Amino acid sequence: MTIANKREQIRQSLSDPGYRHQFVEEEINVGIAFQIRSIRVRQKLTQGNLADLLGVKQPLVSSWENPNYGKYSLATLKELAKAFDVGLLVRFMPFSKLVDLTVDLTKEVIAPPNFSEEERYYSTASVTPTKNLKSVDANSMVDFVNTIAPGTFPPTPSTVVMNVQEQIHA
Amino acid sequence: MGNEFTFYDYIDADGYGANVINAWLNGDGKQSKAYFNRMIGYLEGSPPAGSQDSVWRAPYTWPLHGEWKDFIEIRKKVKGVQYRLIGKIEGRYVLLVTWGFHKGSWETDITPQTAKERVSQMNNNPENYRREHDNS
Repeated sequence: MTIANKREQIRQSLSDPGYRHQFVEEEINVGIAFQIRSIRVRQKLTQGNLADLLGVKQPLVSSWENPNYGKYSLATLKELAKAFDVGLLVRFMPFSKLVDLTVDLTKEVIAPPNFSEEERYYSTASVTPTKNLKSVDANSMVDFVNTIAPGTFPPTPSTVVMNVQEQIHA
Repeated sequence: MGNEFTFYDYIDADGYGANVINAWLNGDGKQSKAYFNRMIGYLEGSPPAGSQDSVWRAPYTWPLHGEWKDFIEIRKKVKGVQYRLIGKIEGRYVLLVTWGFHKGSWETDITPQTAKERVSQMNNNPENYRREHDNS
């Protein structure tokens, strides 16, 4: 199934007011639980390690990773973002935008790199780009770039035209 | 940039060609529909926790036992009723074959034997018996 088909299915399902409110709630409950678990695993932390970082007990971290938990406070999320050293965005938006953000969930989207990982990536890539481009798996790179700059890959026709025009004028 | 896993719904190709999973999620299982659809979205993009694991574990999925051995379920409790979506992991595919309720006792619409037959049909005749999970 294409992303466009999946997006259309979700969009249609949201025409039911009761369902779309449940959708928002479950996207938060399920999404946060998966993100906490996935980022923790990516950063090679045990639940105990993360609990120590935050000054809480391990069972609480276990609860946060349960998609049925559903009682996250903004204060907790901000503490988690700080401990993981990743960004956190909480904002209201139209459903169309929400669907776009929820339709394509790769592991790079679910477990984003922390600040240091991003810095390492940028600094290495800018020093010896050719050498590093060869050593980086193409799909990983596309996933990574889409994580930090959504919608960059695949390039849209207008981006391609702009790139061609830039080369012509160079 | 593909998913880690793909979930498929069972299609009743011998009957009216209905997607039995989608029909349930829009019928008796409606209270749990948003949860299951979001869970499937995230499970599709997430490798199981821990590099040694080949399947997800609780609280994401639960393994079934006895006659239902080899099947897994995703659970959601709403207003005292536990809704369950039942499937089988086949490599990177998850074949959703049926659903269940738990309200005092466990109820499902098919026997374990029928569930196994559905898995065979979905594997042997994918064109007719399975479709990628329907979020609508």
